[in-house]
Amino acid sequence: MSIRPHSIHHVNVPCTDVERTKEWYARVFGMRHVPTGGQSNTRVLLMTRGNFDIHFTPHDDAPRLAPHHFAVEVEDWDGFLAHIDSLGIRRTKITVRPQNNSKICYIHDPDRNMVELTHHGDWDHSRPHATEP
Amino acid sequence: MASGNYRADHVGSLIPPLRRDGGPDPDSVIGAIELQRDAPMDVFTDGDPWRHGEDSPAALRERDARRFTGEGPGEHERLRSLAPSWARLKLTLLLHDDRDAVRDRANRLLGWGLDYLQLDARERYLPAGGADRGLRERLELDRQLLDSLVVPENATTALYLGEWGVGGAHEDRDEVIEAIFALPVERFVLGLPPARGRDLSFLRHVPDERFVVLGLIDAGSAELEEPDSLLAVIDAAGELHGDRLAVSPSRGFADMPAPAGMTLALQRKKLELVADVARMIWGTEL
Repeated sequence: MSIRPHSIHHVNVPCTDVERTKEWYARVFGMRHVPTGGQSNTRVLLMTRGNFDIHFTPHDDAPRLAPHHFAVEVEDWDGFLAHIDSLGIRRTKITVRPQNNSKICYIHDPDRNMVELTHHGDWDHSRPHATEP
Repeated sequence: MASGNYRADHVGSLIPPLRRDGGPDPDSVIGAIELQRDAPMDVFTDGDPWRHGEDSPAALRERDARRFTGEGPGEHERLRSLAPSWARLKLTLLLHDDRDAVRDRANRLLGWGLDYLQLDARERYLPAGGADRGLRERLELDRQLLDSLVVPENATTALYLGEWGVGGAHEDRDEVIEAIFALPVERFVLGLPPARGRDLSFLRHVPDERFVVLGLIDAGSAELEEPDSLLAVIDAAGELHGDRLAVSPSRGFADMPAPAGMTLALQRKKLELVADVARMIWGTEL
């Protein structure tokens, strides 16, 4: 028996245009849509990257998430920023967290949901990251 | 002086909710704090609910005591407890020619622990009527006044210059602008609504170390701007003045009669837009 949570499976954030959101997260993070195949009548958009998921609840007038946000760890900081820049997506300036020297900046999805990009240079990004709490 | 990068600023006054009988809500301060917390703003005011009240020195002293000491109802303590920990509490004083009175009141408030003192100098230096013979002397005396303020290490002073962009087309305008931005405050707050042309050339005269609060969100319009146009102006300002920038509405929402269509809900959305634009540019700074 284990009482240890494995990881966060997904976060659920608001959106106003499902198709626009689907396209944006596919383009920016390479996520793919998870069709429910008629087995569910959920209106929630399910997107997966394989190692993490994000769900989007549609609203006519989406509640604001910002300044609350979620963060995505990227494997290659410079490479990902070049990718973001090539897509013409605005990002904030880069800052470094003093407690662990991780790099961060923020982007916003089409609903102005704030997404933090982060990179921990001392992680082995080829394996799932885990440290003892 | 404090050096905090609080980016989501505002000029100060807020349209208060009304009671059912149409009078001002006596607890509008709580509503104002909640509104700013929800946005969320970095700078908080009490919404300036007393701005239209009497202004004799004795009345001002009593009002300040209510706001910033534990005397009376202890508004300051209440504001502190309601506002989030990152909030800078701001109060505005009108900058006028009775400088001894301004100095006494400003020093009293700063001495009592006010975070952020804004002196209101709208229309004071660039009157629409053109050349002003007393202007140089006024600027010099105001400089002396500002120099004489006792500003604690963690407090901020700012000058609100009103809506910027028209008037003052006299020959020595550049020299006047240079003298304005040489005044010893940490931040300059300017309203830059679209109707005023958003001329950013003044930034050439602002010393590098001073913050400029760009009043881009139009408090005098019932239209809600799109962020992209505002971000473009901030980018252009950054080319001229680097990163020492913040964003705010163009004026206090209750400074003048509200335009047709302005509602409490729209005021809320405009404050949220200030906060969103600030975070699109600067994120949540560490």
